[in-house]
Amino acid sequence: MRPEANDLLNGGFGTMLMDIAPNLNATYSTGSAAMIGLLMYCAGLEYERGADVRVKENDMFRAIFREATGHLDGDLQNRVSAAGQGMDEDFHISALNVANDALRELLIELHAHVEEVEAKWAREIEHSILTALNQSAKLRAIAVPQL
Amino acid sequence: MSELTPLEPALAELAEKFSDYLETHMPDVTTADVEAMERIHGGASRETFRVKVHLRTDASMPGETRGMILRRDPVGSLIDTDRDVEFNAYKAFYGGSVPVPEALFLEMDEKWLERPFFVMSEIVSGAAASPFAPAPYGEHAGTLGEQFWRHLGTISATDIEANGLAEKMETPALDQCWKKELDYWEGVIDADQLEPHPIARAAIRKLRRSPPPPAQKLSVVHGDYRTGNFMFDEHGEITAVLDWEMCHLGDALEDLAWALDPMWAADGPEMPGSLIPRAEAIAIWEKESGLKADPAALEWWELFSNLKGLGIWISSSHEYATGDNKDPILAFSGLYCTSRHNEIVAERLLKAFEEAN
Repeated sequence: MRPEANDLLNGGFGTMLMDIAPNLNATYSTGSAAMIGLLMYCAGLEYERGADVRVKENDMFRAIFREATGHLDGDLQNRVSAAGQGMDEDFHISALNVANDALRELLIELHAHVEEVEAKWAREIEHSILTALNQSAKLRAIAVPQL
Repeated sequence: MSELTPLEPALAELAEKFSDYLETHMPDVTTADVEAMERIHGGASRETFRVKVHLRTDASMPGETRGMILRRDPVGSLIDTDRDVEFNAYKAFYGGSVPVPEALFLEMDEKWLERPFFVMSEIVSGAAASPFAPAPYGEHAGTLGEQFWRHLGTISATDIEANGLAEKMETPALDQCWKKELDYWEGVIDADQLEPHPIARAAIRKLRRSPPPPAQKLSVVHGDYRTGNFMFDEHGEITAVLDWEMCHLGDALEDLAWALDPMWAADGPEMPGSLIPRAEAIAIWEKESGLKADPAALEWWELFSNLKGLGIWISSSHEYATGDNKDPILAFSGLYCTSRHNEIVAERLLKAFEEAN
C-alpha cells in the first residue's frame, strides 16, 4: 500500500494541527483536535515500528530466559526453559502482543526470584534484566515533535 | 433563566441548569444569567467549564458579571478522586499566601447537573504553560521558579490542624505515609493494567525493600504540584496554584519529588519544571518549609513519584480502552507519558543497580 498507513497518519497529523484545530471556534474542540493529531502521529509511529519492537523485545527476553535456565529449578525452571526456546512466527501485532505479554509476565516472576537470591549469577541475571528493560523502554520511546 | 446570549449550542441545556442552580443557592440573587460558557481543558479528571454569569440582586439595577469555573464529575476520569478533596483544599488555602481560587459551591446532588460538581471563582489574570514545552517561561523563569518552590514550601509547612484539613482527611502515622501511598498506587496498577509492566513491578519491589525514613511531620501534600498546574501573568507572578484533586496528608517529600520529576523537565532534570536549577529549588523549599530534603529519602520519593506517574498513565489507558470517556488526552497520556516514565524508571533502576554492585 502506497502511501503507507504511517504516511497517511502523519499527513492527517499535520492537517489536524495546522489546518483544522486553529479554525475551530470552541477552545475544548481545538485542544481535542490537536490531541487527536498527536494520537495520529503516535499511531503512525507504531504502524512503522510496532512489529519490530515486539520481536526485538521478545528475543531479548528469551535470551535472558536461556541465560537463567541453568541456575533455576523446579516449575520455574521448566517454564523459563520452555519460554527461552520459543520464537515468533505470527507477526500480526495481536499475536506478537500475546507472546510479549506472556514473556513479560514470566520476566517479572524471574526478576522477583533472582532479587531474592544471594549469588553472583543472580546479580548477573538481574543486570541482564534491567539492561533489557532499559532497551525496551528506549525501543518504545515516543519523541513528540516540538510544535 | 432569561436572555441567554450566544454560547456553545451543545452547552445551552447545561447553562440553563447551572443558572437555575445559582438562582436557588445565592439568596441575594434574583437572576443569574449565563452569558457565556465554554468547556476548557482543565485536566481529564473532571469536565471543566469557564462560565460568565450576570448576577442581579435587583431587577431594576444593572448587576455585575462574574467569572466562574465549573468542575463536574465525568463519566470516566483520569484520576479517581472525591470532588470534595479539591474543594476542601481550595477552601483551606484561600486567602493565604499561596494563591488559589475561591471555592464557591460543592454539590453532591445529581438532580442539578446530572453529576456531582463544584464551582470556584475564575482567576482572571494569567495562564498555565504546557508541562512538556521547552523553556515555557522565557524571561520569567527565574522569578516564577522562586515563587513556585517557595509556595510549595509554604504548603509543606502549613499547620494541618489550623487550616482544618486534619479533620477532613486521613491522618496516617509518620512512618506509614510512604506505605499508604505505595499501597494505593500499586493497587491502581493492579486494577487497571492492560498489559504486564515489568518496569513498574521492579520499582514497586525496590521501594518496598528499602522504605524511606518516617515523615518529618504530617504535611499537606498537594498531590500534583508541578509545572503546568499553576497560572502566571505577564509580569511573572504566579496567580493561582491549581489541580488539588489528589491532595492528601502525608510526607512533604512526596510533593517535592513530584515537582522535581524529569517528566516535567523539558530542559533536563537539573532544571526541574524548566524554572530554576534543582539545587536552588530544593534550597528554597527547605528554607520555606523548615524541613530537610535528605538525599536518600528524596531518592526514594523520586522513584515513588515516577511510579505514581505510571499509575496515573496506566489508569488513563484503562479508562480510554474500557470506559465511556474517549477524551483523547486519556489516550495520549496512556501512550506518551507511560513510555516516558518507563524510560525514566528503567534508567533509574539500572543506574542504582550498577552503583550498588
